[in-house]
Amino acid sequence: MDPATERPGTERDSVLAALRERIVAYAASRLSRDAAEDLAQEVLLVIHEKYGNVREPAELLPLSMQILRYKMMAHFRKSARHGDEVPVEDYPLADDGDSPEDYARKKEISVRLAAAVKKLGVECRKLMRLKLEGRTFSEIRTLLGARSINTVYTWDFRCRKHLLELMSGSWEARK
Amino acid sequence: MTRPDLEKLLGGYAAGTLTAEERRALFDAALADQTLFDALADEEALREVLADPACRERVQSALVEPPRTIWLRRPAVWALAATVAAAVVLTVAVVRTRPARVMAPAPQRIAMAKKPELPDFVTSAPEQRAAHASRQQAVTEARPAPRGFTPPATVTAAQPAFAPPASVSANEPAPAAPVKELAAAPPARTGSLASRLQPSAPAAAGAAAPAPPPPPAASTQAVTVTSASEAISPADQTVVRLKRPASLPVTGRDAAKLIKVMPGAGLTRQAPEGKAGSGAGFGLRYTLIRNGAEVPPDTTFSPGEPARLRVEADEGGYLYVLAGKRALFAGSVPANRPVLIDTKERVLHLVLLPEPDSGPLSTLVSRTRQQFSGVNLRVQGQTEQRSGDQSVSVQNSSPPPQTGVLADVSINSR
Repeated sequence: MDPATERPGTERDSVLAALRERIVAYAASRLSRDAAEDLAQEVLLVIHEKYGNVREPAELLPLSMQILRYKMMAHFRKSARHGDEVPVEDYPLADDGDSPEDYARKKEISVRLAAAVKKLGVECRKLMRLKLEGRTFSEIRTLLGARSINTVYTWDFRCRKHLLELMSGSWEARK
Repeated sequence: MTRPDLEKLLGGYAAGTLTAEERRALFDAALADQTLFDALADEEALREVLADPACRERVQSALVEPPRTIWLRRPAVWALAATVAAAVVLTVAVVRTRPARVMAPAPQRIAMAKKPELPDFVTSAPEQRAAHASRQQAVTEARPAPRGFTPPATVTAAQPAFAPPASVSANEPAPAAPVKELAAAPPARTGSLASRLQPSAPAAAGAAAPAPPPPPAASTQAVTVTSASEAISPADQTVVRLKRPASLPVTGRDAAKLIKVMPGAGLTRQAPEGKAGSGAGFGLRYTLIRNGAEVPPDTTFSPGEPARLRVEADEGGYLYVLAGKRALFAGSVPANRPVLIDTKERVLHLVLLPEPDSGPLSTLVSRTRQQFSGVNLRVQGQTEQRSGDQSVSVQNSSPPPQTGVLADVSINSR
């Protein structure tokens, strides 16, 4: 039973409740607690208003993470303006393309990533190339001749960890 | 799938390679596990970049480029390295096993002494040039081939006519034959001075014995001496006037070389012709000249006053006029051919040898003095015999090897 609507709770509601809890905890580790509560509320509001037909947890989770990321970046930008705040609602809706800021940010990450992958070992480079080609872990196991898929998981985990170290522990450049 | 296994799916989430089952398992675990949710949220940045085609292409290009260390796995690199190593080893082996190359002998360096430049002669008067021209022509016609044998008549023809001084008596006894005769020397000329001045008959000289070697250098020396002659007294005498200072600064081995390269002359033992005081033996005469007139040898000159010394050998030989370690004259002189040397007050050493000296000129005087120690040189002043002739004759009648004359001439000054 949903206390707010007094209707029987659905699977989607339970998923969103779990998402809200995870989002608040994640945002609270990077922002203040109040800002994290507001941020989670905004994410769920967007999901409710624009993605009401998405019900599968496998879809809701990445969707909520994308919205959470955008909201956090907007929060960071708003804080960088030092109080010269302008409501987001006052801005006209942007088009579907990336804003110049998003374009520059993604390009920066890709350049750093390209420089880092050059320092990887041969096996890691080969594994990552296969991943970017869209190969699944099962196919990669076959191509690399691994005994089991867990071996491929382990290889990928180690290569990802090494790559993350080469990028100073974060995919995004630290400001 | 355990939680550690689910964490290993994070790499597949960003690349978008997870299967539906893997995605479902990962998201369900992320909803239940805050740590996994946080890790998945952090992967969102990478997923966003790799979801962009341009960024994904950039990363894929970086993965396609060969790494910098891949060259070690290229066979061509190893092949090249092996080739270079083999070449080095082969080169070292060849160098070490090949016998030592015979070094080509170094080019032999031979010290050569250039023939000294003959001094320039200056004629003093046009009439002297004419006389010289006629004399030169006669000498040229009579000049034999170098080192060749020619009849004595040719040699005689090359001898310039000698006009005896007026004070010389025609009845004066002829000088004795030279002590040292060459093997093919012509017979000693005896008789009066007039008869000795007559050229000998070619037929007689040629028929008697093989022709003696002519004095080729004597002829050459005659050309040299008479090329710039100046009549003093009598008119047939010649004067050698050097443009440059009459000194030949040669010492040590250079001096010996100088003597060797100079044309040999005066080797003939010709009897002195008509000069008074030319007794038997090997000798010379020197005369001191002041302002063109002969003066006694003990004449006192003013400081810096030029003096002239006339040296005349009774027989052909090699004359050295030394002033200290400097040679004012060094060369062959024919018989009765005066050599004039311009000098000033000093002590001169006159050395006349039958053969050229092979030692250094700097020690010539000392060596000659040592060689002639005990030899009685006969010095005779002509003033005592003839009026007007101030020459001093120095004779040495000793047999070889002590043949030679050493005379010290002191030109005094106030």
